[in-house]
Amino acid sequence: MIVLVLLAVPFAHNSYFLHLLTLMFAFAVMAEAWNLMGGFTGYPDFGLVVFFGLGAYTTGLLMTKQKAPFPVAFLAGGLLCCAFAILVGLLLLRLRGHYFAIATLGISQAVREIVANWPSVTGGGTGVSLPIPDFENNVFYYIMFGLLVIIVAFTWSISRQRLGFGLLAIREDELAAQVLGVNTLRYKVTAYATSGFFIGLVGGAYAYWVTFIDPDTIFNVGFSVEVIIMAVLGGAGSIAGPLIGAFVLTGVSEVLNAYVPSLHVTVLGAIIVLVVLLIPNGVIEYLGFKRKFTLRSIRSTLAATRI
Amino acid sequence: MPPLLEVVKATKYFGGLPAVRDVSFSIEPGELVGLIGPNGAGKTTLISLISRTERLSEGEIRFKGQRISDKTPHEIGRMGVARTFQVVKPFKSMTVLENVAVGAFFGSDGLKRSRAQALDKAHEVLRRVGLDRKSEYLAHALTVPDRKRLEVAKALATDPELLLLDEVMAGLNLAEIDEAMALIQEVNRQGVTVLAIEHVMKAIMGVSQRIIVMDHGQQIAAGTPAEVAANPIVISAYLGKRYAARSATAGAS
Repeated sequence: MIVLVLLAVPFAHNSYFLHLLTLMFAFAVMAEAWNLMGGFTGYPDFGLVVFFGLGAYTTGLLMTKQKAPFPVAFLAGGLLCCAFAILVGLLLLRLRGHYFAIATLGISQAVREIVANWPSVTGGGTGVSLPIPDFENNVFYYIMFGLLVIIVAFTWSISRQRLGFGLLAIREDELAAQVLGVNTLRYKVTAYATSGFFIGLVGGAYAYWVTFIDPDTIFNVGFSVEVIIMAVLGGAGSIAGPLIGAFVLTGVSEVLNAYVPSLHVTVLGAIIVLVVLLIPNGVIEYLGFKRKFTLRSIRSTLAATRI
Repeated sequence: MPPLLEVVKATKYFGGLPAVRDVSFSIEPGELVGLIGPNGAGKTTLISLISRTERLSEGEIRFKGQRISDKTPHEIGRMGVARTFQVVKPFKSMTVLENVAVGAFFGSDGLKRSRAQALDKAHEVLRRVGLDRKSEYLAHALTVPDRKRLEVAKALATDPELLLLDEVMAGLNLAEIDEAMALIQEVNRQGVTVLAIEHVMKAIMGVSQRIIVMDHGQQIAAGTPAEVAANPIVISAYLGKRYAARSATAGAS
């Protein structure tokens, strides 16, 4: 039902609404992709923007310099990110928890610098202008929507299979997982590569959608943080959580931007603080009526998360 | 046929401090061996060396004649060596069934199992350890004895040939210790070789066919429970030299 309604949306010809939904789906795909690492495997990737950027640049450069058709350039971006994730993952995934977070953040900034300072290949700081799409914007809507359906189905299916059990075991206790026979490095790299692949695809589609990319807007750290907040706000480690988080935060962000642009960041910041304090496991916890939102539950949450 | 487990001159230094020094012994298939010794004797380190969660400094460990001391922990786990941890390591936010299913999914034959087969295996193991009625509980909601049961169940779900138990009875009351001993004997009867670290002397002496005693990182005695209990070196390690001397003279007079 919901799917049918969403499929019909582009025919409504409200271009602002279409734009907003496309953006929501793009963020939702990335939040779900981040969730594979940060939520399921327990390795928070603070450098996810590197995949977004590499996907965008691969697509952009292949289309402008090699005159590659969009589908080819788009897929190439995803695959390059997948390969990059395997390489980086084999090195970095020997680190645990926050060390991994810091290292991924570093990598994303290093790659940004390389892209910004290699004008002969990447166009440097001036960026890349992609050709204007010869189809309508609703195509991007369908691409992002399709990616979202695929990643949600993928996450749901692995959560029931060996891969999902292995990833959760790694998050819960890596040493215990190892002695039970989980090849932890391979599993972590698999999750990281899948995550990178999807984020890279979103980056590629985004580049062609907005038709202009430059290092500062594409490799923006704030962007990684935003996606992480979406996943955590909705409920990392669940399937619906990151989706809800992405929709809510993108929506709230749009509304604030439209009506009170001066307070946009302040209100957003306040929401995040409240969520982390009151519902650290995400909105999802309160949707299944597993917990009631009462004063007592808030107090017990505060007690449980106190240092 | 080679012994199931051979530990050859195993040595482990932490910094300059030897935690395990020159320990050698072997275990035949089907045995139930107790590993005892005072606190800090190096028992847990020894088990960590066998499961390769700690790396040997010197020496070698062989399983079924094959050198395992340079393999990774997950490879050793898949070869049929399972271990439990003294401080139990449940996957807290997963259910009891899911915890055990991880072992069934990844253990010796685990990679061949489908989801349904792995869950069946997990149910079967939970019945064996008496946790089947709590299979849908989240692991962090379990009581201490149940957490110990879960720790053993996860290891059993990997279909081990050799089970390394690290103080599964610590923190249990007398009735629970009896249950735990019965479980260990039952597992052993079904063909699993067991090496068990235990502080509860009476318990481990009662069920083991052979006891290895460690002190200060070294193996100081080995033999049947009766031999070990009468060994003056063991008595002095546990109760002090003066007590050993006094009991020796008391025995002589």
